[in-house]
Amino acid sequence: MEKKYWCVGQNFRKDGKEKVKGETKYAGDIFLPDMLFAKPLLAPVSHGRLKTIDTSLAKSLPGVVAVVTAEDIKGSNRFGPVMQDQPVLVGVGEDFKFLGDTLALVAAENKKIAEEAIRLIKVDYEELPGLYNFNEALADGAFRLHQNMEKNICSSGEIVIGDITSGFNESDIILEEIIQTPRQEHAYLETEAAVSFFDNQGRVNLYSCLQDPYYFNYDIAQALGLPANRIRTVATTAGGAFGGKDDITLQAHAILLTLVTGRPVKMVYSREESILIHPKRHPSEIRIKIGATKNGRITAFEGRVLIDAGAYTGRSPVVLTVALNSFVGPYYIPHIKLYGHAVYTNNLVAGACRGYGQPQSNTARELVLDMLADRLNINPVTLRKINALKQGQQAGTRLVNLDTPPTLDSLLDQTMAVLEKSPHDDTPAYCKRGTGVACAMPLFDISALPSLGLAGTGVAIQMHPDGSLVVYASAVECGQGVISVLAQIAAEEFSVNPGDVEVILADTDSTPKSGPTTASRQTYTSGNALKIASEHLKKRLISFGSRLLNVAEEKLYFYGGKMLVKDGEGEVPLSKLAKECYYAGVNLKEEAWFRSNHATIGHTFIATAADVEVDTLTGSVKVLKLVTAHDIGKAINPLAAAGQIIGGGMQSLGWAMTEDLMQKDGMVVTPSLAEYLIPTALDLPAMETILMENPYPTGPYGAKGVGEHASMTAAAAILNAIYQATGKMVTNFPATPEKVFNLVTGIPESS
Amino acid sequence: MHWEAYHCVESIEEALQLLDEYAGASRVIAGGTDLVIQLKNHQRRVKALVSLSSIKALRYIEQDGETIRIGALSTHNELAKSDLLMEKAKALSLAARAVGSPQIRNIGTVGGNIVNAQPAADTAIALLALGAKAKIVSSTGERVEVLENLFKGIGESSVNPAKEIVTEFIFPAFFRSAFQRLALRKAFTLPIINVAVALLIDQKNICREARIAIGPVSTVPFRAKKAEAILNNEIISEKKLVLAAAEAMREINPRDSLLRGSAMYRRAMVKVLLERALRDAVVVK
Repeated sequence: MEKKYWCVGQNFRKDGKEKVKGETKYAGDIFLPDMLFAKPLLAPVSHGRLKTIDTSLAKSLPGVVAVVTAEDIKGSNRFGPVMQDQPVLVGVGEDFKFLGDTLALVAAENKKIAEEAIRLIKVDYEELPGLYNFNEALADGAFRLHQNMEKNICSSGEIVIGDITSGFNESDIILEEIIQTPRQEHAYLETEAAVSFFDNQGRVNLYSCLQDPYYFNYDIAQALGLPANRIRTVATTAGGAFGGKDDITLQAHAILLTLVTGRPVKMVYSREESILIHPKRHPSEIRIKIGATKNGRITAFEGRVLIDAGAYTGRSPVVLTVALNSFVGPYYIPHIKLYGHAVYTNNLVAGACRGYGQPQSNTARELVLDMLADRLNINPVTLRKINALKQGQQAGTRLVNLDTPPTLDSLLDQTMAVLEKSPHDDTPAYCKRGTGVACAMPLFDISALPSLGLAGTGVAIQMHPDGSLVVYASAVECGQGVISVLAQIAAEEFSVNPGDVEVILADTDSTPKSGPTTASRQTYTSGNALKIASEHLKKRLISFGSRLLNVAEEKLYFYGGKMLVKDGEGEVPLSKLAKECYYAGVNLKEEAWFRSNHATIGHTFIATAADVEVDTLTGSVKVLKLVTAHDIGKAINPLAAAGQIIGGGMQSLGWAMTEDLMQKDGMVVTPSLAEYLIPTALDLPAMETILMENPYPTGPYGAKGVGEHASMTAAAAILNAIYQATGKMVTNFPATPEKVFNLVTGIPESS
Repeated sequence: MHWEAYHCVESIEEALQLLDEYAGASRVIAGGTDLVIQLKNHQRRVKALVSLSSIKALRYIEQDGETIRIGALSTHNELAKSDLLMEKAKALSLAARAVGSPQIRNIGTVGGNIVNAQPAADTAIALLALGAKAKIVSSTGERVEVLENLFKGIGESSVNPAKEIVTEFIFPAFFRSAFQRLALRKAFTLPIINVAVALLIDQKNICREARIAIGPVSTVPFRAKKAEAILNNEIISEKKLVLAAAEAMREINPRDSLLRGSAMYRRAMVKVLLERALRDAVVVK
């Protein structure tokens, strides 16, 4: 029997009207009296030693209020979520290690003066040789980018289950392939922006688009030498984030300039600055050796993942961990050996990007599965079903406990059924059609890993004397709809209109620590915490109500804005109940803490199918249709969930087809959105989303995470569809027309 | 971006007078979709900008006997929406649709697209194939130039925007034309290759005049004259079209580009796109 909900499962958008009307205030929309505008001076080349920096000319320009360098920093001048190794500003005598390193900052009366002053700073530097690919960085005798590390290896990981040698011995066929994936830029609409100012108590306030206010607060405080309680961090509504706003960029700079000048400071990156500075999706090289029996049973899977961390540690160790733990995905393979390294180079820093390492390893695996299916002469869908994980079997990661039956077969069937229904138009003779599939077992709330120290999530709820509700959470609204989902959960618990619930987000002065808004986790974690807090508050209200109405507690329940008595006549509106509590001195604010299981993390299942048309004479590929079926647990807000799946699919389509933040010898070949091509509305295929509801035991109302997951399958489904159409696999996407043309015509790729 | 003055003028005379007053230190601005970026990136410096956007008299698309006249301030969107161009100059209609995004097509002008002189400017490729001439005025008089004489190098035209204004494009209404474009995505991006063809085919199916333009395969929009020669005064046949396309592939000299693709690939694509464009031009009308 399906449970009946009050408003969970309905489409509701709390912040839609303001956004559509352009009224939502983003960080860049904040203007304060006396506010200065700041600009950064970036590294002139990818690797060099800063010899001198002369700011005198810039300082003398009328309208310039401050020019600051590393000398002005009182704290460690280093930040980073795992290792604090990235400088806020590179100092004289130090090395800048990539094009996004900042050497100096200008604060001026307006943007124009700040830009002019930046050009007046004289920098003397010695250019150093750079490491620009895995081979250079891993070569014997390569110089070390970080002197405290033995090699240019930022981190390594290994997972071994079974015995890989006997696994290959049991196989009839062995396939070895190398897949290379490109560097992806998040390309959010809103570039990074921050405003900082002193409040009446002399504390610095930071308003900025960022994904984890408490992390930023703490790490910036130590880097600049302030106690964390002297900074207040407010995460403003973000115009897209996708992981790219999970790391510190201009926020430390804005605060530093407020400390130096005493004045409000605004800093907004240009698109070109944004592209150089914030961490990207790691480019990767993935080697897979896979063994299977003639009837399609996979017996062994050996995989090596190399990811390009760029110049600093950032989140690379965790990204590598997640890439490895999701490598085998939704399949049962008895013998596996997975290992990999995150490698330092002088390329752009890489970090969190929708999927956090999973898109790379999952895509590589799914491409190789299609190549294996071809060798075995087995239908790709059938091959996946033969090897799909079943309850009781060991997954390819010890982090997953199969607490619900895997649903891959059903997802594949539903996806293919929708895809096959699509009409086949007339295709010109020189074009070939193909359909491809890809599956994944995405992980969510990976922040629950004890090693990350981010496991807990706090949320508070308060009822005012008139019965109206306020939720306090440090989740960040970045377009995904968390503000609506939290309002719906509170409304569900108290049976009120979700439109009447206020949600205060992401302010270190007033909202409890909720951990990062990443890892597809906030619906799951903040949702659970809010449910617990609501239950506590309801319990207190019921206890008070039972005395007020003189009935047993068990008889009381909430419905339609009232507390009602089961099978009885009595009732009290929440407004009256809350008022009585207020005068009786009853606490109506509850804060709760939710912490996922320490040993295992959330997982779900997803299948995507793509229909493509390949112009064999030009190599152009049209993606005609994408169908995704997602075992979502429970869709608290089905439209928002579908939006995440469609958006993730689109971002993944871009990664497969056009997006490559290309670097050559340290130079960025695609420095702006004129060269770095994200899909346009015209590139959008017909998209269908199937939400399979299969309540998850630990999720709020059975909900699982969803935000990142379509980015793990869409690219692979599209590339597999090209493979099915042409018989050729693009093993180093994006699948540009030239690459597809060369494959189809048998032209070897030029160096 | 630095300029001291931004003048919105109502007439060509007023514009020319201002340009003279600034004596080379000002510059004409139309849609500004290229110029503003150049100013922002400090690639150009001006003391003043003279905006032509309010001159309504330079926005028209009309047929005058056997000639089509287009006011230079017509926007790409106006070109794209014109039924007259779709019928009589399909290459230009399709080229205008391929430019940028709706916002850029709403503000960018055909005159600006030509004066900006990029080797792959879509309307430049189409107008070159259509045999267009440009009317250019200055305070000292008026000149009419065939389009190929306007292009001097990448981003360099013989029109001096500190002194002169392109007012009109004129081309014959009798061509059958077509346009093909290959790019990395469906909109809002530069072409890997774009081609336009214009054919005058008589009742005996003889090609009286063939004009073929290709970009970006040279420093300027390129006329494939050897390929044209294969078609001129010949009976149009599939075989001839294929031969002409193959000839064009030999007479171009594209460069390797990390963004647009290797020279080898782009050469091959010229043949494919040209065959498609020629076939399309032959069947229309």
